[in-house]
Amino acid sequence: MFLNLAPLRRDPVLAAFDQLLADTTRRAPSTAVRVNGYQTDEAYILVLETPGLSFDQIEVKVENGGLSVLGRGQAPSQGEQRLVHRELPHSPDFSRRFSFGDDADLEQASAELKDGLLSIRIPRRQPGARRIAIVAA
Amino acid sequence: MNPKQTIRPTQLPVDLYEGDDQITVLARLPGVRPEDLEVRLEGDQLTVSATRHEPVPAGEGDHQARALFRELGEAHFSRQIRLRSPIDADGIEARLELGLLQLRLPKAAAARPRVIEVRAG
Repeated sequence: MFLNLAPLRRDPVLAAFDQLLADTTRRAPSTAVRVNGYQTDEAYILVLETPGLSFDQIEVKVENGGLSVLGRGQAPSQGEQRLVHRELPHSPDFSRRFSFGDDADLEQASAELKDGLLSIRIPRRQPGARRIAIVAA
Repeated sequence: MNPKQTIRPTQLPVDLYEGDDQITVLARLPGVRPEDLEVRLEGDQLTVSATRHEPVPAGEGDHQARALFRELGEAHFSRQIRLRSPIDADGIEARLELGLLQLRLPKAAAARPRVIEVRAG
């Protein structure tokens, strides 16, 4: 749960405190983002919820043999309107890390964003399959 | 028996904003398609209902995908909000983009603040 200071927002001191609280919250991305993981013969597939984030606000990194997904954004501005009731997190920020089996070809991972869901597909290397260079005689 | 009837809807968290001319409702609905969302205004009661189907992979060859872990299953959401100001129902605008619902509810003219011109007597 989050502190609801909305009814007190008109007090400038409390508004400043609320902003400070929001800024502090932003520095620690939430890891509460929910994910489904699937496996087929050809790929591993992750589906993450990323509501309110566009593609340029999401970073997918390959590091240390795993995959890190980081989202950073802002709640949409409501102009002159004032917040009168809050239940959503202060920001859509999140981070989450995944590791895979040795057959995951992380360098070939691809991602798609639709309806607030990020789908990441990591192809699996097929056992015994090798690319053979063909050279003209 | 329809198994859906046994699933109780989850209360949908919302943020509410209010200005002189309108009220805005924000809700997170990742994975919900517009056709699976219903917004209803009856008197002063606003109801938002939505269904999210499990977001299974739908690419070529994915029909045989098996779940390794599942944190996003099928879910039903609902929220009722009692509005303090009369709303111009014809002007309601619902936008579902990037999994974020923004509902703009214009206040009825009678509920908007008016500036009364003061004349010297």
